[in-house]
Amino acid sequence: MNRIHALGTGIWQIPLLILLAGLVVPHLLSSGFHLRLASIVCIYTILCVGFNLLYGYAGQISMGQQGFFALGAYAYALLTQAGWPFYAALPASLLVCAGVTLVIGVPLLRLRSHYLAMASLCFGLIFAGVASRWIDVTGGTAGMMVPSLKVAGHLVSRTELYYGLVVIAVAVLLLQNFIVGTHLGRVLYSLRGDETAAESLGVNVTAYKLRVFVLSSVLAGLAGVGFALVSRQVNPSFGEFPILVTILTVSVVGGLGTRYGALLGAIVVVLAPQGLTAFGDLETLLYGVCLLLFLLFMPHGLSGFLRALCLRLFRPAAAKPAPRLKVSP
Amino acid sequence: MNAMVSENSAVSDVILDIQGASKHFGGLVAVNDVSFQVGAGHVFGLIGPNGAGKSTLFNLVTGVLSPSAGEIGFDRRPMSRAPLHTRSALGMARTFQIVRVFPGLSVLENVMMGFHPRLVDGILPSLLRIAHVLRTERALRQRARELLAFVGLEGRADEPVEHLPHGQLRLLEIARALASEPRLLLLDEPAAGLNDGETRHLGTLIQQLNRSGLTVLLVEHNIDFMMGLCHRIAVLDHGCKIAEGTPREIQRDDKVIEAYLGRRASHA
Repeated sequence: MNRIHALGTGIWQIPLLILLAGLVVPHLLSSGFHLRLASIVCIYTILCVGFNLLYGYAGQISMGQQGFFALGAYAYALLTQAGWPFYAALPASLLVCAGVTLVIGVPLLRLRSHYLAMASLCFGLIFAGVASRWIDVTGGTAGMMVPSLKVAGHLVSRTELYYGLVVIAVAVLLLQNFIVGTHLGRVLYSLRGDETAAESLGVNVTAYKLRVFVLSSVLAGLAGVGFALVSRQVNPSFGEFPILVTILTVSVVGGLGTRYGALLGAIVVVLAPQGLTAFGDLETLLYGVCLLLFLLFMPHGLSGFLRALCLRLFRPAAAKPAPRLKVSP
Repeated sequence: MNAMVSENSAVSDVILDIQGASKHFGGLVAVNDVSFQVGAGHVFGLIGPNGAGKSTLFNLVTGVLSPSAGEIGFDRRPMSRAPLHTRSALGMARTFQIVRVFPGLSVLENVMMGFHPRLVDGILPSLLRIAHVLRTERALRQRARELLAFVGLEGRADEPVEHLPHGQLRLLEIARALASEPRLLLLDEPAAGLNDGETRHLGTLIQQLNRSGLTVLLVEHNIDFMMGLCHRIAVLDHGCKIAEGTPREIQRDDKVIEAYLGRRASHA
Protein backbone atom coordinates (compact mmCIF):
# COMPACT_ATOMS: atom_id res chain seq x y z
CA MET A 1 0.00 0.00 0.00
CA ASN A 2 1.24 3.46 -0.71
CA ARG A 3 1.38 5.18 2.60
CA ILE A 4 0.99 8.77 3.46
CA HIS A 5 4.17 8.77 5.49
CA ALA A 6 6.13 7.57 2.51
CA LEU A 7 4.68 10.42 0.49
CA GLY A 8 4.74 12.94 3.31
CA THR A 9 7.27 15.22 1.68
CA GLY A 10 7.32 17.33 -1.44
CA ILE A 11 3.94 18.95 -1.81
CA TRP A 12 4.83 21.22 -4.74
CA GLN A 13 7.92 19.86 -6.52
CA ILE A 14 6.29 17.21 -8.70
CA PRO A 15 3.22 19.37 -9.52
CA LEU A 16 5.64 22.05 -10.71
CA LEU A 17 7.25 19.55 -13.09
CA ILE A 18 3.81 18.47 -14.26
CA LEU A 19 2.90 22.10 -14.91
CA LEU A 20 6.04 22.63 -17.01
CA ALA A 21 5.43 19.41 -18.94
CA GLY A 22 1.79 20.35 -19.44
CA LEU A 23 2.74 23.76 -20.82
CA VAL A 24 5.20 22.21 -23.29
CA VAL A 25 2.75 19.63 -24.62
CA PRO A 26 0.87 21.87 -27.16
CA HIS A 27 4.18 22.65 -28.90
CA LEU A 28 4.69 18.93 -29.54
CA LEU A 29 1.20 18.25 -30.85
CA SER A 30 0.24 18.52 -34.47
CA SER A 31 -3.55 18.43 -34.47
CA GLY A 32 -6.53 19.86 -32.70
CA PHE A 33 -7.66 16.33 -31.92
CA HIS A 34 -4.52 15.70 -29.89
CA LEU A 35 -5.03 18.96 -28.04
CA ARG A 36 -8.53 17.79 -27.20
CA LEU A 37 -7.12 14.54 -25.81
CA ALA A 38 -4.62 16.49 -23.69
CA SER A 39 -7.47 18.66 -22.38
CA ILE A 40 -9.46 15.56 -21.47
CA VAL A 41 -6.47 14.19 -19.53
CA CYS A 42 -6.60 17.38 -17.41
CA ILE A 43 -10.36 17.03 -16.95
CA TYR A 44 -10.14 13.40 -15.86
CA THR A 45 -7.31 14.28 -13.52
CA ILE A 46 -9.45 16.92 -11.78
CA LEU A 47 -12.43 14.53 -11.64
CA CYS A 48 -10.43 11.59 -10.32
CA VAL A 49 -8.41 13.53 -7.73
CA GLY A 50 -11.77 14.24 -6.09
CA PHE A 51 -12.74 10.58 -6.23
CA ASN A 52 -9.30 9.61 -4.95
CA LEU A 53 -9.62 11.84 -1.88
CA LEU A 54 -13.10 10.49 -1.18
CA TYR A 55 -12.50 6.79 -1.81
CA GLY A 56 -8.75 6.28 -2.10
CA TYR A 57 -7.98 8.15 1.10
CA ALA A 58 -11.15 8.50 3.16
CA GLY A 59 -12.60 5.14 2.10
CA GLN A 60 -16.06 6.54 1.34
CA ILE A 61 -17.36 5.29 -1.96
CA SER A 62 -19.62 7.42 -4.13
CA MET A 63 -21.09 5.98 -7.30
CA GLY A 64 -22.57 9.32 -8.31
CA GLN A 65 -19.48 11.29 -9.32
CA GLN A 66 -20.63 11.23 -12.96
CA GLY A 67 -23.83 12.92 -11.74
CA PHE A 68 -21.90 15.77 -10.15
CA PHE A 69 -19.72 15.97 -13.26
CA ALA A 70 -22.87 16.44 -15.36
CA LEU A 71 -24.49 18.70 -12.76
CA GLY A 72 -21.54 21.10 -12.94
CA ALA A 73 -21.65 21.05 -16.74
CA TYR A 74 -25.43 21.61 -16.93
CA ALA A 75 -25.42 24.31 -14.27
CA TYR A 76 -22.70 26.14 -16.18
CA ALA A 77 -24.52 25.74 -19.52
CA LEU A 78 -27.82 26.98 -18.08
CA LEU A 79 -26.25 29.94 -16.29
CA THR A 80 -24.32 30.94 -19.40
CA GLN A 81 -27.52 30.68 -21.41
CA ALA A 82 -29.13 32.99 -18.86
CA GLY A 83 -26.44 35.52 -19.66
CA TRP A 84 -24.10 35.00 -16.72
CA PRO A 85 -20.45 35.75 -17.46
CA PHE A 86 -17.83 33.04 -17.00
CA TYR A 87 -16.40 34.38 -13.73
CA ALA A 88 -19.86 34.25 -12.12
CA ALA A 89 -21.20 31.10 -13.78
CA LEU A 90 -18.19 28.96 -12.82
CA PRO A 91 -18.30 29.52 -9.03
CA ALA A 92 -22.11 29.39 -9.09
CA SER A 93 -21.98 25.97 -10.80
CA LEU A 94 -19.58 24.72 -8.15
CA LEU A 95 -21.86 26.08 -5.41
CA VAL A 96 -24.77 24.19 -6.95
CA CYS A 97 -22.71 20.99 -6.78
CA ALA A 98 -21.78 21.69 -3.17
CA GLY A 99 -25.40 22.43 -2.26
CA VAL A 100 -26.76 19.24 -3.82
CA THR A 101 -24.00 17.24 -2.13
CA LEU A 102 -24.98 18.67 1.25
CA VAL A 103 -28.62 17.74 0.66
CA ILE A 104 -27.61 14.16 -0.13
CA GLY A 105 -24.82 13.92 2.41
CA VAL A 106 -26.25 15.42 5.59
CA PRO A 107 -28.85 12.71 6.25
CA LEU A 108 -26.66 9.88 4.92
CA LEU A 109 -23.21 10.40 6.31
CA ARG A 110 -24.28 9.80 9.89
CA LEU A 111 -24.74 6.21 8.84
CA ARG A 112 -21.89 3.83 8.33
CA SER A 113 -21.48 1.25 5.56
CA HIS A 114 -22.69 1.58 2.00
CA TYR A 115 -25.60 3.99 2.18
CA LEU A 116 -23.50 6.67 0.52
CA ALA A 117 -22.70 4.43 -2.45
CA MET A 118 -26.38 3.57 -2.93
CA ALA A 119 -27.70 7.09 -2.52
CA SER A 120 -25.09 8.67 -4.77
CA LEU A 121 -25.79 6.01 -7.40
CA CYS A 122 -29.48 6.95 -7.21
CA PHE A 123 -28.57 10.60 -7.58
CA GLY A 124 -26.56 9.80 -10.71
CA LEU A 125 -29.43 7.81 -12.24
CA ILE A 126 -32.02 10.46 -11.38
CA PHE A 127 -29.85 13.21 -12.80
CA ALA A 128 -29.29 11.35 -16.06
CA GLY A 129 -33.05 10.73 -16.30
CA VAL A 130 -33.92 14.36 -15.66
CA ALA A 131 -31.28 15.59 -18.11
CA SER A 132 -32.63 13.48 -20.94
CA ARG A 133 -36.39 13.98 -20.27
CA TRP A 134 -36.83 17.53 -18.99
CA ILE A 135 -36.55 18.73 -22.55
CA ASP A 136 -37.70 22.34 -22.02
CA VAL A 137 -34.82 23.08 -19.68
CA THR A 138 -32.05 20.66 -20.59
CA GLY A 139 -32.67 20.18 -24.28
CA GLY A 140 -33.31 16.46 -23.82
CA THR A 141 -30.99 13.96 -25.44
CA ALA A 142 -29.71 16.59 -27.85
CA GLY A 143 -28.42 18.65 -24.93
CA MET A 144 -27.40 22.29 -25.17
CA MET A 145 -24.73 24.27 -26.92
CA VAL A 146 -22.18 25.98 -24.72
CA PRO A 147 -20.86 29.17 -26.32
CA SER A 148 -17.10 29.54 -26.70
CA LEU A 149 -15.48 30.99 -23.65
CA LYS A 150 -15.02 34.74 -23.62
CA VAL A 151 -12.98 36.39 -20.88
CA ALA A 152 -12.95 40.18 -20.79
CA GLY A 153 -14.01 40.42 -24.41
CA HIS A 154 -11.27 38.05 -25.56
CA LEU A 155 -12.37 34.87 -27.30
CA VAL A 156 -10.43 32.04 -25.66
CA SER A 157 -8.84 29.68 -28.17
CA ARG A 158 -8.69 25.90 -27.70
CA THR A 159 -5.01 26.10 -26.87
CA GLU A 160 -5.60 28.79 -24.27
CA LEU A 161 -8.43 26.73 -22.80
CA TYR A 162 -6.02 23.81 -22.56
CA TYR A 163 -3.49 25.97 -20.71
CA GLY A 164 -6.21 27.00 -18.30
CA LEU A 165 -7.11 23.36 -17.68
CA VAL A 166 -3.47 22.45 -17.05
CA VAL A 167 -3.15 25.20 -14.48
CA ILE A 168 -6.37 24.13 -12.75
CA ALA A 169 -5.38 20.45 -12.78
CA VAL A 170 -2.02 21.31 -11.21
CA ALA A 171 -3.75 23.51 -8.63
CA VAL A 172 -6.04 20.59 -7.79
CA LEU A 173 -3.02 18.30 -7.42
CA LEU A 174 -1.45 20.87 -5.09
CA LEU A 175 -4.64 21.00 -3.04
CA GLN A 176 -4.68 17.22 -2.82
CA ASN A 177 -1.01 17.07 -1.83
CA PHE A 178 -1.57 19.68 0.85
CA ILE A 179 -4.48 17.70 2.27
CA VAL A 180 -2.71 14.36 2.05
CA GLY A 181 0.63 15.65 3.32
CA THR A 182 -0.72 17.25 6.48
CA HIS A 183 -2.94 16.35 9.39
CA LEU A 184 -6.00 16.43 7.11
CA GLY A 185 -4.63 13.39 5.29
CA ARG A 186 -4.27 11.46 8.53
CA VAL A 187 -7.82 12.41 9.46
CA LEU A 188 -9.11 11.12 6.11
CA TYR A 189 -7.22 7.88 6.69
CA SER A 190 -8.73 7.57 10.15
CA LEU A 191 -12.23 7.63 8.63
CA ARG A 192 -11.59 4.45 6.70
CA GLY A 193 -9.89 2.81 9.65
CA ASP A 194 -11.92 3.00 12.80
CA GLU A 195 -14.66 5.59 13.29
CA THR A 196 -15.01 5.04 17.04
CA ALA A 197 -11.29 5.50 17.58
CA ALA A 198 -11.30 8.59 15.37
CA GLU A 199 -14.25 10.08 17.31
CA SER A 200 -12.56 9.38 20.61
CA LEU A 201 -9.53 11.29 19.39
CA GLY A 202 -11.75 14.28 18.70
CA VAL A 203 -12.45 13.82 14.99
CA ASN A 204 -15.96 14.86 14.04
CA VAL A 205 -16.36 11.89 11.72
CA THR A 206 -19.67 12.95 10.18
CA ALA A 207 -18.40 16.45 9.46
CA TYR A 208 -15.21 15.20 7.83
CA LYS A 209 -17.06 12.68 5.68
CA LEU A 210 -19.32 15.48 4.55
CA ARG A 211 -16.39 17.82 3.88
CA VAL A 212 -14.53 15.36 1.70
CA PHE A 213 -17.76 14.37 -0.09
CA VAL A 214 -18.46 18.02 -0.88
CA LEU A 215 -14.88 18.58 -2.01
CA SER A 216 -14.99 15.57 -4.32
CA SER A 217 -18.24 16.60 -5.93
CA VAL A 218 -17.10 20.21 -6.35
CA LEU A 219 -14.02 18.87 -8.15
CA ALA A 220 -16.31 16.67 -10.26
CA GLY A 221 -18.40 19.75 -11.07
CA LEU A 222 -15.26 21.70 -11.96
CA ALA A 223 -14.21 18.92 -14.32
CA GLY A 224 -17.74 18.97 -15.77
CA VAL A 225 -17.52 22.69 -16.53
CA GLY A 226 -14.17 22.05 -18.20
CA PHE A 227 -15.65 19.25 -20.28
CA ALA A 228 -18.58 21.45 -21.31
CA LEU A 229 -16.15 24.16 -22.46
CA VAL A 230 -13.95 21.73 -24.35
CA SER A 231 -16.94 19.97 -25.96
CA ARG A 232 -18.81 23.29 -26.49
CA GLN A 233 -21.96 21.43 -25.50
CA VAL A 234 -23.58 19.44 -22.73
CA ASN A 235 -25.73 16.34 -23.14
CA PRO A 236 -27.06 13.55 -20.93
CA SER A 237 -24.10 11.27 -21.72
CA PHE A 238 -22.07 13.46 -19.33
CA GLY A 239 -23.98 11.91 -16.44
CA GLU A 240 -24.25 8.35 -17.66
CA PHE A 241 -22.58 5.12 -16.73
CA PRO A 242 -19.55 5.24 -19.05
CA ILE A 243 -18.23 8.27 -17.15
CA LEU A 244 -18.48 6.36 -13.85
CA VAL A 245 -16.69 3.41 -15.46
CA THR A 246 -14.01 5.82 -16.65
CA ILE A 247 -13.58 7.23 -13.13
CA LEU A 248 -13.19 3.75 -11.69
CA THR A 249 -10.82 2.67 -14.47
CA VAL A 250 -8.63 5.76 -14.12
CA SER A 251 -8.47 5.24 -10.36
CA VAL A 252 -7.62 1.56 -10.54
CA VAL A 253 -5.09 1.89 -13.37
CA GLY A 254 -3.41 4.90 -11.77
CA GLY A 255 -3.59 3.63 -8.21
CA LEU A 256 -6.10 4.54 -5.51
CA GLY A 257 -4.78 6.36 -2.49
CA THR A 258 -1.73 7.64 -4.34
CA ARG A 259 -0.91 11.23 -5.20
CA TYR A 260 -0.40 10.93 -8.93
CA GLY A 261 -2.60 7.94 -9.67
CA ALA A 262 -5.36 10.16 -11.07
CA LEU A 263 -3.00 11.82 -13.56
CA LEU A 264 -1.23 8.58 -14.59
CA GLY A 265 -4.54 6.78 -14.92
CA ALA A 266 -6.05 9.61 -16.95
CA ILE A 267 -3.12 9.58 -19.38
CA VAL A 268 -3.40 5.82 -19.89
CA VAL A 269 -7.18 5.76 -20.17
CA VAL A 270 -7.24 8.61 -22.70
CA LEU A 271 -4.28 7.47 -24.79
CA ALA A 272 -4.58 3.67 -24.71
CA PRO A 273 -7.70 3.47 -26.90
CA GLN A 274 -5.93 5.65 -29.49
CA GLY A 275 -3.06 3.18 -29.67
CA LEU A 276 -5.46 0.26 -29.87
CA THR A 277 -7.50 1.60 -32.80
CA ALA A 278 -4.97 -0.08 -35.10
CA PHE A 279 -6.38 -3.43 -34.00
CA GLY A 280 -9.81 -2.62 -35.38
CA ASP A 281 -12.49 -4.95 -34.09
CA LEU A 282 -10.20 -6.32 -31.43
CA GLU A 283 -9.83 -2.90 -29.77
CA THR A 284 -12.40 -3.35 -27.02
CA LEU A 285 -11.28 -6.90 -26.30
CA LEU A 286 -7.64 -5.88 -26.00
CA TYR A 287 -8.56 -2.91 -23.80
CA GLY A 288 -10.47 -5.22 -21.46
CA VAL A 289 -7.64 -7.75 -21.31
CA CYS A 290 -5.14 -4.98 -20.54
CA LEU A 291 -7.33 -3.75 -17.68
CA LEU A 292 -7.54 -7.26 -16.25
CA LEU A 293 -3.76 -7.59 -16.45
CA PHE A 294 -3.46 -4.29 -14.60
CA LEU A 295 -5.69 -5.55 -11.83
CA LEU A 296 -3.80 -8.83 -11.59
CA PHE A 297 -0.24 -7.58 -11.71
CA MET A 298 -0.46 -4.02 -10.42
CA PRO A 299 -3.02 -4.06 -7.64
CA HIS A 300 -1.79 -0.62 -6.57
CA GLY A 301 -1.91 0.75 -10.07
CA LEU A 302 0.80 2.47 -12.02
CA SER A 303 1.74 4.60 -9.02
CA GLY A 304 2.37 1.58 -6.87
CA PHE A 305 4.30 -0.10 -9.66
CA LEU A 306 6.49 2.95 -10.30
CA ARG A 307 7.15 3.34 -6.58
CA ALA A 308 8.22 -0.26 -6.20
CA LEU A 309 10.39 0.12 -9.29
CA CYS A 310 12.07 3.26 -7.90
CA LEU A 311 12.69 1.59 -4.57
CA ARG A 312 14.26 -1.37 -6.31
CA LEU A 313 16.43 0.76 -8.59
CA PHE A 314 17.58 3.45 -6.21
CA ARG A 315 18.08 1.46 -3.03
CA PRO A 316 21.35 -0.44 -3.01
CA ALA A 317 20.52 -4.13 -3.21
CA ALA A 318 23.31 -4.97 -0.78
CA ALA A 319 21.75 -2.93 2.02
CA LYS A 320 19.23 -4.65 4.25
CA PRO A 321 15.88 -4.89 2.50
CA ALA A 322 13.72 -1.92 3.36
CA PRO A 323 10.63 -2.87 5.34
CA ARG A 324 8.42 -1.09 2.83
CA LEU A 325 9.57 -3.34 0.03
CA LYS A 326 8.10 -6.27 1.85
CA VAL A 327 4.79 -4.51 2.12
CA SER A 328 4.47 -3.38 -1.44
CA PRO A 329 3.74 -6.19 -3.86
CA MET B 1 4.15 2.44 47.19
CA ASN B 2 1.14 4.67 46.95
CA ALA B 3 0.99 5.71 50.58
CA MET B 4 2.27 9.20 49.91
CA VAL B 5 -0.71 10.22 47.81
CA SER B 6 -3.57 8.29 49.36
CA GLU B 7 -3.30 10.40 52.51
CA ASN B 8 -4.26 13.62 50.78
CA SER B 9 -7.15 12.06 48.88
CA ALA B 10 -9.65 13.96 50.96
CA VAL B 11 -8.37 17.39 49.99
CA SER B 12 -7.97 16.87 46.24
CA ASP B 13 -10.44 18.32 43.73
CA VAL B 14 -12.92 16.05 42.07
CA ILE B 15 -12.23 15.75 38.34
CA LEU B 16 -14.69 12.97 37.45
CA ASP B 17 -18.03 12.83 39.23
CA ILE B 18 -20.32 9.91 38.52
CA GLN B 19 -23.78 10.27 40.04
CA GLY B 20 -26.25 7.41 39.91
CA ALA B 21 -25.19 6.21 36.49
CA SER B 22 -27.31 3.40 35.07
CA LYS B 23 -27.35 1.67 31.72
CA HIS B 24 -30.07 -0.68 30.53
CA PHE B 25 -29.94 -2.76 27.39
CA GLY B 26 -33.58 -3.70 26.95
CA GLY B 27 -34.39 -5.68 30.09
CA LEU B 28 -30.76 -6.18 31.04
CA VAL B 29 -29.37 -3.82 33.65
CA ALA B 30 -25.66 -3.61 32.89
CA VAL B 31 -24.87 -0.75 35.25
CA ASN B 32 -27.18 0.00 38.15
CA ASP B 33 -27.07 3.32 39.99
CA VAL B 34 -23.32 3.60 40.35
CA SER B 35 -21.77 6.67 41.94
CA PHE B 36 -18.17 7.52 42.65
CA GLN B 37 -15.77 10.39 42.39
CA VAL B 38 -12.25 10.49 41.06
CA GLY B 39 -9.96 13.05 42.67
CA ALA B 40 -7.60 15.05 40.50
CA GLY B 41 -4.13 13.52 40.59
CA HIS B 42 -5.32 10.05 41.55
CA VAL B 43 -5.02 6.67 39.96
CA PHE B 44 -8.51 5.26 40.32
CA GLY B 45 -9.20 1.61 39.64
CA LEU B 46 -12.41 -0.10 38.63
CA ILE B 47 -12.49 -3.84 39.22
CA GLY B 48 -15.04 -6.60 39.27
CA PRO B 49 -15.61 -10.11 38.02
CA ASN B 50 -16.39 -10.82 34.37
CA GLY B 51 -19.72 -9.33 33.36
CA ALA B 52 -19.82 -6.98 36.35
CA GLY B 53 -20.45 -3.99 34.09
CA LYS B 54 -16.97 -2.47 34.17
CA SER B 55 -16.69 -2.05 30.44
CA THR B 56 -20.20 -0.63 30.15
CA LEU B 57 -19.46 1.88 32.89
CA PHE B 58 -16.19 2.73 31.17
CA ASN B 59 -18.06 3.32 27.93
CA LEU B 60 -20.49 5.62 29.75
CA VAL B 61 -17.58 7.66 31.06
CA THR B 62 -15.83 7.81 27.69
CA GLY B 63 -19.06 8.64 25.87
CA VAL B 64 -19.27 5.64 23.57
CA LEU B 65 -22.58 4.88 25.32
CA SER B 66 -24.91 7.38 26.93
CA PRO B 67 -26.38 6.57 30.35
CA SER B 68 -30.03 5.53 30.73
CA ALA B 69 -30.10 7.48 33.98
CA GLY B 70 -27.74 9.50 36.11
CA GLU B 71 -25.09 12.05 35.26
CA ILE B 72 -21.40 11.96 34.56
CA GLY B 73 -19.57 15.16 35.32
CA PHE B 74 -16.09 15.91 34.10
CA ASP B 75 -14.44 18.96 35.56
CA ARG B 76 -17.83 20.13 36.92
CA ARG B 77 -19.33 19.89 33.44
CA PRO B 78 -22.23 17.51 32.72
CA MET B 79 -20.98 15.11 30.06
CA SER B 80 -23.65 12.50 29.49
CA ARG B 81 -25.01 14.22 26.38
CA ALA B 82 -21.72 15.57 25.04
CA PRO B 83 -20.92 14.05 21.62
CA LEU B 84 -18.03 11.61 21.61
CA HIS B 85 -15.79 13.76 19.45
CA THR B 86 -15.98 16.79 21.76
CA ARG B 87 -14.49 15.00 24.75
CA SER B 88 -10.85 14.89 23.84
CA ALA B 89 -10.78 18.67 23.50
CA LEU B 90 -12.12 18.93 27.07
CA GLY B 91 -9.20 16.88 28.37
CA MET B 92 -10.28 13.24 28.32
CA ALA B 93 -8.24 10.66 26.44
CA ARG B 94 -8.64 6.92 26.34
CA THR B 95 -7.22 3.64 25.19
CA PHE B 96 -9.26 0.66 24.06
CA GLN B 97 -9.65 -2.83 25.46
CA ILE B 98 -9.10 -4.23 21.97
CA VAL B 99 -6.51 -1.90 20.49
CA ARG B 100 -7.82 0.38 17.80
CA VAL B 101 -5.13 1.85 15.61
CA PHE B 102 -5.33 3.18 12.07
CA PRO B 103 -3.94 0.73 9.54
CA GLY B 104 -2.20 2.28 6.56
CA LEU B 105 -0.52 4.90 8.74
CA SER B 106 2.89 4.61 10.34
CA VAL B 107 3.40 4.26 14.08
CA LEU B 108 4.39 7.92 14.23
CA GLU B 109 1.32 9.05 12.28
CA ASN B 110 -0.94 7.06 14.56
CA VAL B 111 0.45 9.02 17.49
CA MET B 112 -0.01 12.25 15.53
CA MET B 113 -3.74 11.53 15.24
CA GLY B 114 -3.83 12.29 18.96
CA PHE B 115 -2.95 15.93 18.28
CA HIS B 116 -6.28 16.43 16.53
CA PRO B 117 -8.12 18.44 19.20
CA ARG B 118 -5.36 21.04 19.27
CA LEU B 119 -5.05 21.55 15.51
CA VAL B 120 -6.84 23.62 12.89
CA ASP B 121 -10.05 21.71 12.16
CA GLY B 122 -11.54 21.40 8.68
CA ILE B 123 -10.32 21.69 5.11
CA LEU B 124 -11.19 25.35 4.45
CA PRO B 125 -9.77 26.66 7.75
CA SER B 126 -6.59 24.69 7.04
CA LEU B 127 -6.33 26.24 3.58
CA LEU B 128 -6.79 29.71 5.03
CA ARG B 129 -3.90 29.07 7.43
CA ILE B 130 -1.73 27.12 5.04
CA ALA B 131 1.61 28.47 6.28
CA HIS B 132 0.72 27.77 9.90
CA VAL B 133 -0.44 24.23 9.10
CA LEU B 134 2.73 23.40 7.15
CA ARG B 135 4.91 24.88 9.88
CA THR B 136 3.26 22.99 12.74
CA GLU B 137 3.53 19.71 10.83
CA ARG B 138 7.26 19.46 11.52
CA ALA B 139 6.92 20.39 15.18
CA LEU B 140 4.18 17.75 15.58
CA ARG B 141 6.44 15.06 14.15
CA GLN B 142 9.10 15.96 16.69
CA ARG B 143 6.62 15.96 19.58
CA ALA B 144 5.20 12.60 18.47
CA ARG B 145 8.72 11.14 18.46
CA GLU B 146 9.18 12.34 22.04
CA LEU B 147 5.94 10.67 23.09
CA LEU B 148 7.02 7.43 21.41
CA ALA B 149 10.35 7.66 23.21
CA PHE B 150 8.50 8.12 26.50
CA VAL B 151 6.58 4.87 26.07
CA GLY B 152 9.69 3.13 24.69
CA LEU B 153 8.80 2.84 21.01
CA GLU B 154 11.24 5.35 19.55
CA GLY B 155 12.88 2.71 17.34
CA ARG B 156 9.65 1.83 15.57
CA ALA B 157 8.30 5.28 14.70
CA ASP B 158 8.50 4.94 10.93
CA GLU B 159 7.23 1.39 10.61
CA PRO B 160 3.76 0.54 9.40
CA VAL B 161 1.57 0.19 12.46
CA GLU B 162 0.62 -3.34 11.35
CA HIS B 163 4.14 -4.49 12.21
CA LEU B 164 3.81 -3.88 15.95
CA PRO B 165 3.04 -6.75 18.31
CA HIS B 166 0.11 -6.47 20.69
CA GLY B 167 2.08 -5.21 23.69
CA GLN B 168 3.61 -2.37 21.70
CA LEU B 169 0.24 -1.39 20.22
CA ARG B 170 -0.93 -0.84 23.81
CA LEU B 171 1.98 1.51 24.38
CA LEU B 172 1.24 3.22 21.07
CA GLU B 173 -2.34 3.83 22.19
CA ILE B 174 -1.06 5.42 25.39
CA ALA B 175 1.31 7.68 23.43
CA ARG B 176 -1.56 8.64 21.14
CA ALA B 177 -3.80 9.41 24.12
CA LEU B 178 -1.07 11.56 25.66
CA ALA B 179 -0.71 13.56 22.44
CA SER B 180 -3.98 15.36 23.21
CA GLU B 181 -2.49 16.51 26.55
CA PRO B 182 -5.35 15.10 28.60
CA ARG B 183 -6.08 15.80 32.24
CA LEU B 184 -7.85 12.47 32.63
CA LEU B 185 -6.47 9.32 31.06
CA LEU B 186 -8.91 6.43 30.74
CA LEU B 187 -7.38 3.00 30.28
CA ASP B 188 -9.61 0.04 29.40
CA GLU B 189 -7.92 -3.17 30.60
CA PRO B 190 -4.47 -1.92 29.65
CA ALA B 191 -2.67 -5.02 30.96
CA ALA B 192 -4.87 -7.52 29.11
CA GLY B 193 -2.73 -9.75 26.91
CA LEU B 194 0.58 -8.36 28.19
CA ASN B 195 3.34 -10.55 29.60
CA ASP B 196 4.84 -9.91 33.04
CA GLY B 197 7.63 -7.69 31.79
CA GLU B 198 5.25 -5.61 29.66
CA THR B 199 2.83 -5.30 32.57
CA ARG B 200 5.59 -4.01 34.86
CA HIS B 201 6.66 -1.51 32.19
CA LEU B 202 3.05 -0.37 31.87
CA GLY B 203 2.75 0.06 35.64
CA THR B 204 5.91 2.17 35.73
CA LEU B 205 4.59 4.33 32.88
CA ILE B 206 1.29 4.92 34.64
CA GLN B 207 3.08 5.88 37.85
CA GLN B 208 5.38 8.25 35.97
CA LEU B 209 2.40 9.90 34.30
CA ASN B 210 0.55 10.16 37.57
CA ARG B 211 3.56 11.72 39.29
CA SER B 212 3.54 14.41 36.62
CA GLY B 213 -0.01 15.25 37.66
CA LEU B 214 -2.18 13.19 35.32
CA THR B 215 -5.33 11.60 36.70
CA VAL B 216 -5.85 8.03 35.58
CA LEU B 217 -9.00 5.89 35.62
CA LEU B 218 -8.39 2.29 34.77
CA VAL B 219 -10.50 -0.78 34.39
CA GLU B 220 -8.54 -3.92 34.92
CA HIS B 221 -8.70 -7.63 35.49
CA ASN B 222 -5.25 -8.09 36.91
CA ILE B 223 -5.78 -7.49 40.65
CA ASP B 224 -2.14 -7.53 41.70
CA PHE B 225 -1.41 -4.89 39.08
CA MET B 226 -4.22 -2.71 40.46
CA MET B 227 -3.33 -3.12 44.14
CA GLY B 228 0.14 -1.73 43.64
CA LEU B 229 -0.93 1.10 41.39
CA CYS B 230 -4.25 2.61 42.50
CA HIS B 231 -4.94 5.16 45.20
CA ARG B 232 -8.58 4.19 45.28
CA ILE B 233 -10.55 1.31 43.88
CA ALA B 234 -14.25 0.80 43.26
CA VAL B 235 -15.59 -2.74 42.94
CA LEU B 236 -18.51 -3.61 40.69
CA ASP B 237 -20.56 -6.77 40.83
CA HIS B 238 -23.70 -7.46 38.78
CA GLY B 239 -23.79 -3.82 37.71
CA CYS B 240 -23.74 -2.39 41.26
CA LYS B 241 -20.92 -0.82 43.18
CA ILE B 242 -20.32 -3.08 46.19
CA ALA B 243 -17.29 -1.38 47.66
CA GLU B 244 -14.94 1.55 47.34
CA GLY B 245 -11.77 2.46 49.17
CA THR B 246 -8.03 2.20 49.25
CA PRO B 247 -6.54 -1.06 47.94
CA ARG B 248 -5.98 -2.21 51.52
CA GLU B 249 -9.61 -1.55 52.52
CA ILE B 250 -10.80 -3.34 49.39
CA GLN B 251 -8.70 -6.38 50.14
CA ARG B 252 -10.33 -6.65 53.57
CA ASP B 253 -13.89 -5.98 52.46
CA ASP B 254 -16.08 -9.04 53.04
CA LYS B 255 -18.38 -8.34 50.13
CA VAL B 256 -15.46 -8.00 47.77
CA ILE B 257 -13.85 -11.17 49.03
CA GLU B 258 -17.12 -12.96 48.54
CA ALA B 259 -17.75 -11.60 45.08
CA TYR B 260 -14.33 -11.59 43.64
CA LEU B 261 -11.24 -11.92 45.72
CA GLY B 262 -12.34 -14.92 47.76
CA ARG B 263 -10.45 -17.58 45.91
CA ARG B 264 -7.40 -15.43 45.40
CA ALA B 265 -7.34 -14.25 49.01
CA SER B 266 -7.33 -17.82 50.31
CA HIS B 267 -4.44 -18.62 48.01
CA ALA B 268 -2.44 -15.68 49.26
